[in-house]
Amino acid sequence: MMRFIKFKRSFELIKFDAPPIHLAGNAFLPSTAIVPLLQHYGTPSVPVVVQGDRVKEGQLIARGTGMNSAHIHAPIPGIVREFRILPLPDAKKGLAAIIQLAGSFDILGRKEENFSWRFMAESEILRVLEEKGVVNTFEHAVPLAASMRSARNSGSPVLALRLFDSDPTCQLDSFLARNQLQTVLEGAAVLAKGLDAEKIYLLHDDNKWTGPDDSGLEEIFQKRKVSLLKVGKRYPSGNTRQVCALIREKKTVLIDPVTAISAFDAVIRNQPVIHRFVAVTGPALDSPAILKVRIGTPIGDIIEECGGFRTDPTRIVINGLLAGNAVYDLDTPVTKYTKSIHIMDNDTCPSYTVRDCIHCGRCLQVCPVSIDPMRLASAIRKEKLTGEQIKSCTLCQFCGCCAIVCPSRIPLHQIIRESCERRKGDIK
Amino acid sequence: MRKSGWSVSPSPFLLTHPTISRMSLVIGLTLLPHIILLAVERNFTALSVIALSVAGSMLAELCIAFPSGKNKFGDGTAILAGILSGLLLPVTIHPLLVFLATFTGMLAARVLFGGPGSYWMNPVATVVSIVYISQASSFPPFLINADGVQTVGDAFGALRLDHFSQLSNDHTITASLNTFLLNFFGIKLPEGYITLFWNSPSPIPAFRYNIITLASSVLLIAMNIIDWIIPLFFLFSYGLSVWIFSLLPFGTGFFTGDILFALLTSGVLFVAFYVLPDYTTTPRTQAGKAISGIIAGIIAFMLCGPGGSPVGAAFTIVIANTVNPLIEYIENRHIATQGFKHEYAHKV
Repeated sequence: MMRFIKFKRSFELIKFDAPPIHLAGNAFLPSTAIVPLLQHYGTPSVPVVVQGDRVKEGQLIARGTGMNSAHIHAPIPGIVREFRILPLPDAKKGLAAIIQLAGSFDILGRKEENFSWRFMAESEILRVLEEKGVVNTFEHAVPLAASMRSARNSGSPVLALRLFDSDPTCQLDSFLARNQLQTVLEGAAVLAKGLDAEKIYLLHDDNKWTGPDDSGLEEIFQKRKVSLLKVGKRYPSGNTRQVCALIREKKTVLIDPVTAISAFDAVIRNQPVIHRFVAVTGPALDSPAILKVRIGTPIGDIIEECGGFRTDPTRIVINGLLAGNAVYDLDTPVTKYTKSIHIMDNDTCPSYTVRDCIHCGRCLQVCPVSIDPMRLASAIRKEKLTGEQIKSCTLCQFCGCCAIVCPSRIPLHQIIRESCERRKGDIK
Repeated sequence: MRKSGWSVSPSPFLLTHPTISRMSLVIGLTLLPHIILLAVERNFTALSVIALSVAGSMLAELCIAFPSGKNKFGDGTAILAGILSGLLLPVTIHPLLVFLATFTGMLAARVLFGGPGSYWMNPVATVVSIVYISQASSFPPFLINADGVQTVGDAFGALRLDHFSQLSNDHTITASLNTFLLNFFGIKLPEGYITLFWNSPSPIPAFRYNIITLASSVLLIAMNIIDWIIPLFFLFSYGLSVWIFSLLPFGTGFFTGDILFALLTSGVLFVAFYVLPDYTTTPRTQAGKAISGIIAGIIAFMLCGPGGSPVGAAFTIVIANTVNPLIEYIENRHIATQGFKHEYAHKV
């Protein structure tokens, strides 16, 4: 099915093929799980197991070392074969524990727990979230408990749950919001309690809210104030800057359905983060599906489970076609921040050469925050950024609209992002 | 480790516009009918002018690319600029001058006026201007003269006085159009316009096949290859100026100008869709493009008058391109404040 995405500031359309996608259940267990020790922004966790150790399913294998580090658990029972530096889905390389499947399961096949969280203390919920290694995947994956503590300590926190994808091609968040809404809302309610949120915002992009009515929401969120906010469907929509501008609350914790489900699993099911729902799709894939995949499963195994390649793939893209990353290795593992895998063919994602800018102005016309990406990127390349330009870097949402319309194929937002990261100190 | 043979590139992986190479290819393909018709008419002089122009342009591109070591032929812009220059030059010109003027013009426009991708003077217009300044006599004179217009009272009538040879089937097609289509709107098309549309009598190839230019423009705009704003505002402001003022000096009063004649005889259509919208030389915002188009239209009226000018359209581009940096300067100042307004809006 062909879908069209409208830009926020232009009448142009992004066209993409989105075949019907269904939940196909649990993916096959990997015979070897590749578990990266850094699955979020921040510092890597420190391994608490050594080569040759036998680990149980859900056992802690690496401990978070501070506020910006989350615990890592064994997704499968087995033997730690080695620690190796491998490519990760965020296009970087990092140390990973290689666990070979062996032994019996402690979570799989057992009766699911149903812990009554409503009587838990707020600090207890935060402790569980930390212990189970829950990360917030709203934008960049970050340890959830630490950001919640920080919001709580500053007083009057607010929770906002985005029920759609910020990158519409990703499709996972929208799917979970449609098909597992009860779990998502209950997970959000757990987090609202842990945060002691004054107010909860549910952001949706449907014309009409089809979820529980006011009384139903009141019951789920334990009489906390819940507001439904309809967000426009034009791209970009639902990123941190836009949501903050929409809500206009100072201390907001923003979450997505994946994070809410993780919180549900951690607090109610008493399970660490050992699996993720992953949307596997794309024109070069035989059977698109959404699978519940163990963390550490190589993407090659998942593709194989979805029938393999239908045509020759040109790119494998993780986490959406507008803002994701291309990977080159089929052994790249699924991590806590993996949401989708797109297998692209030559027709939809051909190779190209980056050319000189032709000064067409399309990047300028489409930029949602009215900055001038072309002049900014040009100044960055020449290392002649003015104070005003450095400031305008901070406005960039890194949505990629400028690069999507660029006929010269210049990765403008990547140039600006890299410069921003390099100059973070200057901007502050 | 299972390695793949596919490529890795930064996001995004969905793109809305064709690449520069593809844009050049499509524009080149729309010019192909002009070249085929020249070949059919056995106009080998015109074809050799185009070939020499392409050679001059490619040599200039080679000279620019050589120091940087980059392959510049890949995007096809040099070849395209060569074809466009060749089509805008008269067939009566000396072949050596074609080659030298194209080489010099391309080199000057791309190096002296800002470098590849940021030059502010259109290379094609620069080439035509160089040729005109070097050998004005090789260009045909104005199609109409003041005496003729004063005698007949309209521009096309003046052209007819001057041994204008219609196509053999012009009469039949005009009659059919009037009977079956224009009659319903109360319009009567005089004879001769079909000739101007299909094979306008000009030694400059680009001025001849207006119907092909029009058909190509629809394709180029539909495929988002060229921007529609500049041609639209340019043609509107030029057409309006012609209609209101063009015959005022000849004593026929306001609102008597012949828009169709003006558009079909000066190469205005060709320039409007193939040269004027060159992204490199135009402002970047839609408002800037509209203003640029309007100014270009007014300049075209000043240079081409009621129509029939051999180089007015090319000089229009040259003058408009000198105004565009000013528009862009104002535009950039406006853009700089826009972003911060946005930031302010977020904070409120």
